[in-house]
Amino acid sequence: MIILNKIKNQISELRSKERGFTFIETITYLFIMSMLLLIISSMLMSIFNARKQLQASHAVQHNARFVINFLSNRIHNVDLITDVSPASEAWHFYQMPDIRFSIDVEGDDLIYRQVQDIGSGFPDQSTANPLALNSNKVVVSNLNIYSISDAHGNLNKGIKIDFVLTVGAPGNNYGYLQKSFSTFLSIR
Amino acid sequence: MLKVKRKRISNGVKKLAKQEGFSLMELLIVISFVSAMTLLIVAVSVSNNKLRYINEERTQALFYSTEALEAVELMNWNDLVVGDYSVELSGDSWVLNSGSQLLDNKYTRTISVEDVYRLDSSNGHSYGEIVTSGGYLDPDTKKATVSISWSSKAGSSKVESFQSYFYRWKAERWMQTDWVGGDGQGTWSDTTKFATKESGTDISVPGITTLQSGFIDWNDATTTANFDTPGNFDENDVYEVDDIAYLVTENNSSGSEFYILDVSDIYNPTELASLNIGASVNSVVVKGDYAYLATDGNNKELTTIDVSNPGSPSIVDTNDIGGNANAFDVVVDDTELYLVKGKYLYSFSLIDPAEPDYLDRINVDDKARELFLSENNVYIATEEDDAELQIVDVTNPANLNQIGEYDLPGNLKATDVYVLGNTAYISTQNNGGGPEFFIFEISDPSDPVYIGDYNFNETIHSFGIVGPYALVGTNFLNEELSVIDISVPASPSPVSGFDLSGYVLGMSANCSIIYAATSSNDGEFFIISTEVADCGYASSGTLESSTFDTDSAQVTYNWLSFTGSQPIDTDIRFQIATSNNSTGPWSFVGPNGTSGTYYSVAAQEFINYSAHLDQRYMRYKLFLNTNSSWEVPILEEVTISYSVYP
Repeated sequence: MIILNKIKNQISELRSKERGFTFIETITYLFIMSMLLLIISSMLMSIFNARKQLQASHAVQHNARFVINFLSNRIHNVDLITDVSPASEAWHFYQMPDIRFSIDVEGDDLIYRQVQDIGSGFPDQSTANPLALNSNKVVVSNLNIYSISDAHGNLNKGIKIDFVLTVGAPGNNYGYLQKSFSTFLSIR
Repeated sequence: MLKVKRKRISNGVKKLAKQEGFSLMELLIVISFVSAMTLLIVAVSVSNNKLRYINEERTQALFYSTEALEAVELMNWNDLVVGDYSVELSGDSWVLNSGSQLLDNKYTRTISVEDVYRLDSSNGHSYGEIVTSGGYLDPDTKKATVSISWSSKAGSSKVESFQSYFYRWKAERWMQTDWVGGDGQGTWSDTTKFATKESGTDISVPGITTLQSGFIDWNDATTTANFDTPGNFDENDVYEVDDIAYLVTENNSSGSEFYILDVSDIYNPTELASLNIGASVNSVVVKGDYAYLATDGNNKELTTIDVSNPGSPSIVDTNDIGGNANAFDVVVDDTELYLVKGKYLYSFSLIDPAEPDYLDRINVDDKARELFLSENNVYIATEEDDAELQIVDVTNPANLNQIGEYDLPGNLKATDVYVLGNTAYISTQNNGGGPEFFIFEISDPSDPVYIGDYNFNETIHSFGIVGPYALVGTNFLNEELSVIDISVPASPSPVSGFDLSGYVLGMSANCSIIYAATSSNDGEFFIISTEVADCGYASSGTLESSTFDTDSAQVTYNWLSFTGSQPIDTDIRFQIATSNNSTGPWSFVGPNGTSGTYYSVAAQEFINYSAHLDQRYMRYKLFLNTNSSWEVPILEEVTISYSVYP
C-alpha cells in the first residue's frame, strides 16, 4: 500500500510538470505556417499564370501558322491578282478565270470568301459563304495587303501581308497576348 | 498479482518521463520534401516559359523564312548565283543583297543559293533525280536555303533552316492536232493550218496527217490467184508484209495451221513453209522476226513463232493464259502486245519479243472478238449486247483502264473493228433488216459519236479500210467481198463486189491488192488486185508548220512528243527550227543540233538545249516515210514543250 501511494505521488508529480505551448512557440508556429502557405499559394498562382500565358501563346502561334499555311496554299495557285479598292474586299485573287477569292477582316475574324462565275458574271464577294481562318478565341486586326512586283517589273506577282492576332483582354495580365505578323507570298 | 500491476505502472511512468520533441532527422526529411516540391514547381514553371518562348520564336522564324523563300521566287534569275544573300523591300519589289541581315534586332537571316546537279543528261538537258555528288549541272534549277538564327529567351542559341528548289522556267505547250485547214499560213493563228507541205502529204482527213493514198479503182479488180491449203479447213486470218503472207487456219489434226507464202508474184503465190500449231489459230500478226498467234489451244492461247527465216519457222514460246476460252485476236505495237480471250483483254510486254510477258487484263463483260490498237487506246468488238464497242486506255499497259463504250441498237454481236484517225468502224452479225456496219467519230474516245451506218442485210465476218473504201467480207454466197465508199461517213455507198466461193474471215489489204483468208474448201487464200500497178501511195512527204511565237526572247525548248501510228517500215520524224526573227530563216535541225538527225521518239524526246536557247520563234517540220507496200504512217498530234522566263 505504501508502495502504491509512492507511485501515485510520482505520477502526480510528473503530471504537475506538463504545460501548454508557450506564446513564443505559438507565434513561431503561426509564422512558419504562414510562410509555407504563402510560398505554396504563390507557386500555384505562378503555375496557373504560366499556363494561361502558354495557352494564349499557343492560340496565337497556332492561328498564325494556320493562316499562313492556308493563304500559301491559295496564293500559290493564283493566276491573277487585282486590287478592286475602294471595295470592302480590296483584293481579288483569281485561281482560275471563273473562280476567285478574297480575304478581309470582318469583325474579329479573318474571312475567306470564294465565288465562281457560272456564266453570268462573278457574284458579289459578300454573297459567298464566309470561312473564318481564325479560332473564336483569337481576334484578327490590322490586316494590310500590299502588292509586290517581280524583279522584271511585272506587277502583282505576290502580296506582302501584315496582320495582328490578339488573345484575351488587355487587363488580363496573363491571358492577354498581342502579336504582329508579317510575311510575303508569291503567285506561281 | 500485485507485483505485476506494480511493474506495469512503473513502465508507464518511465515512458512518460522519456517523451521529447521532433528529432533532427525528422526535421531534415520534412525540409527536404518541401524543398523538392518547391524545386519541382519552379522547374515546371520555367519549362513552361521556355516552351512558350521557343514556340513564339519558331513561329516568327517561320514567317521570316517564308518571306525570304517567296521573295527569291520573284528575283531575276541571273542574280541567283552561288552565295549568301538577304532580301529587303524597295518600293514595291524585293531587292537581293549580299550577306546576311538582322531582323527585329534578334533574328539573323541568311539565304544561301547553291547549284543543282541531276542524275542524267540528254541533248544538253539535265534531268532526273537531284544528286548531291556527281551528276550534271542543271543551269535551270537552284537550291535556296534560308537559315534563321537567334539567341533565344529560353537561354540558348537556335537555328531553323528551310530549303526550296527554284526552277527557272514556266513550262508551256504548243500542240497541233489538225491540219485540214491547209497550207499558206505563215504565222500560227488558225490551229488547223500550216505553212507548206509536199504533194505526198495528205491532210484531207480531219485529225490526221498521213501520206497520199493515191489512186484506187476497184472497178476492174479481179482475182489474180488463190492458194489451196491442205484439207477443208477454214483460213481464219492473213497478215501480209514485204511480199510475205502469213496464213492461219482452223485446227488441222493431221497437218499445219500456220503457212508462210511468197506473194511477190500476185499471180503465183508459193508456199515457203508451214508449221503445225496443234490448235485452231484465229489471228496472226507479225512484228520483226516474230509472228504472234491467237489460238484455241488451252495451253498456248498466245503462241510466238520465230519467222526470221521464212523458210523455217519455229515455235519459240507459248503462253497458257488460263481457262478454256479461245483467244480470238492479237495486235502489237513497238513494245506491247494485246490479245482478246473470252471476256478479257490482256496486255503483254514485248521487251523480249521472243517471250511476251503478261502485264495486266481487264474484263470486257462478254466474248471479245476483235481488237484494234490506235494511239493509246485499244478498240474492242465484243458480243456484249449492251456494249458492242468498248475502248480501253492502254497508256499504262500494266494498268488497263476502260474509258468508253457504245451500245449498238438491239442485241447485236460485233464481229470486227477498225480505227483510222478520228473515225472508228465496227461490224456486226446479221441485224435482221438493220445496218451491220457502223461509223463513229472518236475524237473523244470516252464518248464515241455515231455518224453513219450501212445496211448489208447479212453478217459481216471481217473488214478492212483502205483510203476512202471499206473492204467488207460478208456472209453472202455470191458476193463474199463487198467494197463500199465511206468518204462520206453519213451515207456510205456500194462500189463493187467479188464472188470468192468462201466467206472472208480475215484480210490484209492495200490500195491495189487484197489478201483474203476465206472459208472456201477449194483455194482458201485469195489474192485480188485492182490491176493498177502503181496505185500512187507516196513513199514520203513533209509538212512545215506555221511560225509559233513564244512571246519571249528568254525561252528554252524542252521536248517534243507525238501520237499516231507507225506501221512496220514506216516512220514519223521531226526537226525543229527557231529564230529571233518571225520570218526566219528556218534551219531545221534534230537532237544533236544538225540537219542530219531527227526527233523520232513518240513518247517524248528532249529538244537540243543550246541550239534553240532564247530563240523566240519556232517551227517544226514533219517527215513522213514509208517503205511498206501499202501501209502509211499517220500523225494525229504533235506537242512541243517550251518554257519562257519570267
